Amino acid sequence: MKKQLKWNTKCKLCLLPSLIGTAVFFVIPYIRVLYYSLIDNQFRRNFVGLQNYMETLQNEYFQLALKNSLLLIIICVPVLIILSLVVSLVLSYGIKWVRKTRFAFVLPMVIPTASIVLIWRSVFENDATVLPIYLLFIWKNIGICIVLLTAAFTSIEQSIYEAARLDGANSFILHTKITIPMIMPTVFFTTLLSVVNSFKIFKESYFYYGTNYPPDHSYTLQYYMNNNFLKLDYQSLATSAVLTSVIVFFIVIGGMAVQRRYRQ
Amino acid sequence: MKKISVLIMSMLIFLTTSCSQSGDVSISEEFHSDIITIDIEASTFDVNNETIYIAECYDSGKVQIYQEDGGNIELPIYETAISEYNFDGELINEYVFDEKTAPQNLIYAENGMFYYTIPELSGETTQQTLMKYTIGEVKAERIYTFQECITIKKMELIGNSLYIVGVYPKHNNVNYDDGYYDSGECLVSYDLNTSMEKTIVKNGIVDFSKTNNEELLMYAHNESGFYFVSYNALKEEYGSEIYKNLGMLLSFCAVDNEKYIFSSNEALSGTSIGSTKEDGLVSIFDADTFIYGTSEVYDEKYIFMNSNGINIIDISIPLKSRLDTNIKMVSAEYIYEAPSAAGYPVKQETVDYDSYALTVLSQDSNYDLYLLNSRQSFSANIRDKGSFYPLNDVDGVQEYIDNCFPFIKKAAINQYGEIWMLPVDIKVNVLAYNDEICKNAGVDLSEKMTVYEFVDTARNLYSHNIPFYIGAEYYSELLLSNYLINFGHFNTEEFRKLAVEIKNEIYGCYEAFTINSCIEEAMMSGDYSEIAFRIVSTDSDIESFATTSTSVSCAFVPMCAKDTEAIVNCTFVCVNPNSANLEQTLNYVSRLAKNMTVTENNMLVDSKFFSKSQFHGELYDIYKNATVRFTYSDEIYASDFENYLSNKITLDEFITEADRKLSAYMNE
Repeated sequence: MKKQLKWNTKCKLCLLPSLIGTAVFFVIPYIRVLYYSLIDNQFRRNFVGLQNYMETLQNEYFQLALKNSLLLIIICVPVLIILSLVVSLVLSYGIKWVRKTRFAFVLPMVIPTASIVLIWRSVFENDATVLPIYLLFIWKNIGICIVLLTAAFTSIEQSIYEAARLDGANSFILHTKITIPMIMPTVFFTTLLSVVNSFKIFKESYFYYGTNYPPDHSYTLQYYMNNNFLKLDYQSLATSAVLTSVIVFFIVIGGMAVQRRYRQ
Repeated sequence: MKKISVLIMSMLIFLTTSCSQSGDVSISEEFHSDIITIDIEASTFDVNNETIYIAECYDSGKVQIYQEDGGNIELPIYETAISEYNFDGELINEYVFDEKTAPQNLIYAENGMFYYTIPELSGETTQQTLMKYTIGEVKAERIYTFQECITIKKMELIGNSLYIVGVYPKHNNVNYDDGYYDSGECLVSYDLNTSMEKTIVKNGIVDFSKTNNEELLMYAHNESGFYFVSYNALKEEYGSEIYKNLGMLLSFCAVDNEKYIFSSNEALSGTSIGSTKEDGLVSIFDADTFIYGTSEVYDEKYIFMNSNGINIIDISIPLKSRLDTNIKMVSAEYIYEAPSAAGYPVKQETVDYDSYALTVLSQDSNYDLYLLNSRQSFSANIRDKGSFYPLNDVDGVQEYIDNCFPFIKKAAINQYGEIWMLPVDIKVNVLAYNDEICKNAGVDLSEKMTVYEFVDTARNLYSHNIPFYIGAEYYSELLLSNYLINFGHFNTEEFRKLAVEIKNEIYGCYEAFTINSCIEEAMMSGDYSEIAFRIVSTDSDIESFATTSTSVSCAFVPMCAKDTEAIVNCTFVCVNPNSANLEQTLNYVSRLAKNMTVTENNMLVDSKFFSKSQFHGELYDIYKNATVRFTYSDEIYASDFENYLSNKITLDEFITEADRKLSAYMNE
């Protein structure tokens, strides 16, 4: 028992540096942001309760940004996941020469956004809709999704399939009873990652439109926060950052609940 | 373990969240020194044994008669005088002797002897001759000629040797990327006993000075950049190279082995004390003053030459200032109207906008002052978000603000009565016009007019080949900015009319509104007497226009409506409330405010400046009724307006797009 305790203490001590790192770089800044969202400004520091939240939630541009960010999730994330699944499936089980092209799907991750935006602009020169931004988001994120899903596909032991085939399972049963259940955790993870990435889409859009004030359909939460940062309005920035983190938190919690139910 | 974690977390939270809010700080009066000026047309001077030796060369009024080609030619007799003054500016002795060329560098050696150099023509080239004058003699004696040396920049005496930095044009002059300009300077020595000349540093010497322990402190340049190095002339030993980039120097003299005083265009404060061991600088003068040529330090006194004569200033206080505690002034773009260092070690830093916003929002204690102007869209947020140290209790600030024009005072005080900024400069655009030319052309610009009337007038003058200068881009920018301040959005009939006027008339007649050869000539020469009118905003522009022409007046710049106010661009400083160097920063602000209160040419206060001439009086009428507006960023609509001007988008598209962006900017 004594040895066990010592071992536990050692483990915790080993964890301490990373705990401190997390605290210094994530937890404490978040607490400070939370604090700044409850005061009138960071210099006078008068407590104003939820006034900043009320103002932010009532702000028409925050509402617009929130709507656009959620639309991006609702429309683009499912498309992104389905596309990634199809490509991963082809790469894992498809024709051999197609597999050799898998590196091409990782290219969007390494090509600088600024350089690709020029091509994007010329392709969508006359398009005044949000489509170019949606496609840019999918194009930019599909690489990492394919990598994760392909890894999930290829990590399924071939012996499981062979055993199922011996038991008389056909292809449909193999995929519905073995492949899909086994890659589902990765699909959930990829979805959550894409949701989080969708909140971070800014650079691509900024380069594409070349302004801090893009058309209304492309004005996302990142724009709202960035513009308030540039105006030195820390309270709006802090409030919208907290609200965004709360939304992301609920999406993650929701996703995990769905995953749990699926497992059951 | 949980307790330890909670304890560590609590300590970290405490450490990172508890900001060090500074308490009251005392404001103390610091460096102030009067300048003693010896009103003399000196060509050079030297300081030895608590005495200033000043050399001047002048026409004695006597003539010498030569006989040539059967006739008599009268030539004026020039004399040279070496005068001895004490540090109170009192004349002690004067030695006059017969020498027609002005001394360039003067050295007083003991036993009643002066050494100096003079330039002499030898064929087509100039060469430098070393002269010796012994007190009591009628003439000076030529003792040596530095062959091939066209200019001697400086001369010092150590032991029995003279050390000179001279220009030996042996190779092509070279411009380096870091600003070094090599025109062939060498450091050579001349032994007074043996009459031997010896080259010590062949390349890269910029300037040098004798230190108080009989060494030479050299400022030089090599492939690694500018550096300092000491040289023990007696032992012929060099110290280690200390790299510091002060740029090319206008003047330089050593205080001791470490400290030196230099004047350089690179330094914010003009003339400053620097050190080879520390990074900071302390400015010598309250206002930016550049010293050219000879300067000396003797017994905590700085002696320099300018157009007024020889000046003596006590530098004991700035010499004691710590150089390692710079007052850091940060701005998001380079602002030319930065205030003078006023005798403090002020360092101006320009960072990109993101870093600037982070600096302000995080209350970075490394920065002491924010330098801003009212055209920057975020400047009002410094006031609204309280990110400043209130200056109400800082000595001299309230008095200064009270002396400022009422509209500046109004801008400097927030709704809580706090002085949130110290205004240091204002710029208002005025239309400076030549009365005579305009009257002859039948044009009256004295009354306020609209842009439409003004464009008609300009076109009329252009058709009669009368030159004027507006600058289509600049004027359009002013018109848009002024319109937006008054109307707040673009979707008005007034704007449609203005936009068409800008596009079809101002840009349509681009040649008339921009530079032509006559304007270029005027700009080069600074003589605007032939120009009908131009928009001016900087102090120097106003001064040059006002002084080069006798019949110059000024009026409001015509805008889209007659009843618009003159908008002033105000440059100001705010004190970082979390500055680590708050006390010194407030002392500096205090000093700055006091200086600006008494400065005669300060355009922010209702000063004598405006009574200098009729032009200045008219300027006063514009200034006193102006207003400071913390404006929109023109980045919001500028690129779209360019697209409209180049026909990429229609006017309606511009209005829709610009108003949409403006709405987001205002309401997000």
